Amino acid sequence: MTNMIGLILSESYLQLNGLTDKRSVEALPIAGRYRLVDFMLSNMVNSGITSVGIVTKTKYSSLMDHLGSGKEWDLNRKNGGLHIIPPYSGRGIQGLSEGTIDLIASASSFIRRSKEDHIILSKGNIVANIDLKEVEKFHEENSADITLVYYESKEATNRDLGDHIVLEVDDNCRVRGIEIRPIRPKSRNVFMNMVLMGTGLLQYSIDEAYARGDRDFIRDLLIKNLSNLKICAYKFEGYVGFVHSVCTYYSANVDMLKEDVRREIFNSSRPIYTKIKDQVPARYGSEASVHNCLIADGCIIQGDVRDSIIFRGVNIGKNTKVSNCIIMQDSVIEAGCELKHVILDKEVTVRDGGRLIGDLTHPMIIDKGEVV
Amino acid sequence: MARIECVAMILAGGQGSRLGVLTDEVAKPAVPFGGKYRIIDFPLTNCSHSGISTVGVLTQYQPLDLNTYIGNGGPWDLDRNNGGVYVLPPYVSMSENKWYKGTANAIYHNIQFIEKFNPKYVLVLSGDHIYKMDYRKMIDFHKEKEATATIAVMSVPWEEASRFGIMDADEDGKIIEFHEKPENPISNQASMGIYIFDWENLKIVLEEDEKDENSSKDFGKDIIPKMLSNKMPMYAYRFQGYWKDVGTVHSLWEANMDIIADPPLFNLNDSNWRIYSRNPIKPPHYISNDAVITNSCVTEGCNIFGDVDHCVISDGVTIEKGAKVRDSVIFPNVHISSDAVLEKVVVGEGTVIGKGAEIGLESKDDNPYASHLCTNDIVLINGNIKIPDGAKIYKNSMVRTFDIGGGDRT
Repeated sequence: MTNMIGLILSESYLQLNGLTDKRSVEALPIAGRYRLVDFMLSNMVNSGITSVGIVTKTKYSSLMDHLGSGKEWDLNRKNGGLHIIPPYSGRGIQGLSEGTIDLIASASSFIRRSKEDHIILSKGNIVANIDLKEVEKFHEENSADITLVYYESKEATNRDLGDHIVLEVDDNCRVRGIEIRPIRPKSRNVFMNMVLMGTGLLQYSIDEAYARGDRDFIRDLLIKNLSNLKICAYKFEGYVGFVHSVCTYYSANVDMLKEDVRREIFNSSRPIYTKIKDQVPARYGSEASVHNCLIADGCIIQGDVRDSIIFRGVNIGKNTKVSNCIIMQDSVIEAGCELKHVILDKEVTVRDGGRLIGDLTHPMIIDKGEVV
Repeated sequence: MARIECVAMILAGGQGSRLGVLTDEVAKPAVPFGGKYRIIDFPLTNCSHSGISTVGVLTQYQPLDLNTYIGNGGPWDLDRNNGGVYVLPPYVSMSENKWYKGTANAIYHNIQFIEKFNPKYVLVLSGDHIYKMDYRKMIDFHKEKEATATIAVMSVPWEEASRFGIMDADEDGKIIEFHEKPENPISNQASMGIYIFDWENLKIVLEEDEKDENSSKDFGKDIIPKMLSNKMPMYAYRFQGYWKDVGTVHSLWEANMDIIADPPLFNLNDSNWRIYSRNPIKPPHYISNDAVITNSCVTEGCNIFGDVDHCVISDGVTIEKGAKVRDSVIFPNVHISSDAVLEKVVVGEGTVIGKGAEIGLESKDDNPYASHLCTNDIVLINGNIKIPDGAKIYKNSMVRTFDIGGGDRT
């Protein structure tokens, strides 16, 4: 049994061109049949958490449609369950809430009602399969006030790290410094935007911060308290796919073509749940030729498909070549087409003989429902 | 409780002995079909789409798998406040042991269950047929004809007619004669095992039949002839479309092949009539660089590294590099090792096929695994066993366990 509740905070600053025009980043389709939020939500459920809040901010209808009652994650409960917390304005705040502290504050009644001692705060734009019970164990063993989860990104360049929050951690797992989007990072310890702390401490800190007019959780709550509170860091050793740009979205998808990543992320003891669509098995035609692809149910494949991620219900016609592409749900690519380095959003139609060529560093994006 | 117009009762107690090792440990309705379904999904889905939300599933033989599979009925949208799906096993009462003695007897023992919903009609279905059907149309037909009973029928080839219950009806559809498995059929209109009854009348006939010591307590053999001789108005409802009794290894294999025919003889990819099932929680399947895959269907959780042509591959199957699988039906979580070759094989759930095994390639006269249940060159391999590396199994075999044997000897 765990003694935790979960709170997923919507990431509102990220823009992934057309992909996030009508949906928040958490609702992005990924890995053939999932939405980004499925990973963090499943991590929480697989760690025994039965009460999860999701604080939304803007463009959340796609996310709400996906989550429904929370049944697929086993979160349609009498006690606890899934709570979708829409944006909220109050206590003199004009319009929509601004920073992370506001987001957490809008969930204050959800937090106050819970009886669990610990809360996991997280964002919903990360692909990882992490056992949060281990984080809780670490937190208790170190008698920490706050535990931050990080991974060591060995191959990341300074420029890559400039997109992240980097932690300085001492030999006793204490956090000694926090750098936000550093130009010359002091370490390669990338904060995974996952925080475990006491529910009471969080409530108290948020109320205090609110009263002072503080807005940012990292700057105003963590960095200011580095010496007052015992802030520890838990190192996660598994695969981490951060999605914060079109490029990282693309690579988090194609990473699933690697067998070791797939085995770890989709290990059967901690499965990733998602909305069920009751699609039929995928069908391969007599001329199909498929190599190194992840293919979801409901597809009809008659062409040549390589190094791609094909979502549910996609139709690929005869004599069509698709390579290095991400083709989202219910898109149709008719006969004799050629697509390379393309991201097709949902329900796109590419007519007979269409040719779309993008670049690895700048995949071409076709918006939802377009006819090319 | 609010009155419910129609209650469906699915007969799912059959042992399905002609499916050999596939039904050693599960009831026939729980046998996998079409990559991600089980046979019971078809009647349950039909009920759900036809707006029939009170369904009793009558189980008896090896009910455990079926019970856990059906659960609360959520996957079929049958988790309802009023009604929903109920698994109804036989039970022991003060006066007698109510083991189901026949299809009619199974319904008789659940009269109390049906009465609770006070329905006008009872739809009796079989749990081992593959088809898509809108029962609402049949109920409308039943009402329009003011029938006491309506039986769904379809045309079958004349030479097969003697395997079915055969109906002779007038132009209006009114049934004149009914013969269960006749030697010399008078028509080719076969009963599909789908009946609608006026509950009031059915109850009376069931109670009478129960007292009849000579009765075998079967719908086809006893109840329908009794109703006919009592001059109750009975009608034949003609169904056109795909329908298959998957009671034998060959028909089960054939029905699987029908869904991968081009164009499919039985189309499951129908957005207006999606087949519901308890979905495995698994990622999309992976097709590797070396794989060759054609004319097949594959579902979630599979990893394909070998050659697959004209197969139905269920969830969680791994086919290693160099393996060749043709014209086969592979059940969930099977592992086919490198360089194994399979042709016209039905492999049961969770079995491991060793490296370089050759299955179904050659015939042999004194085949130790030969079985009368496996015809048309089909090989049937039991679930959860291991076929050793390099093993050779001939056409028309049934393997219960390797080494110890199989076929008709076991």
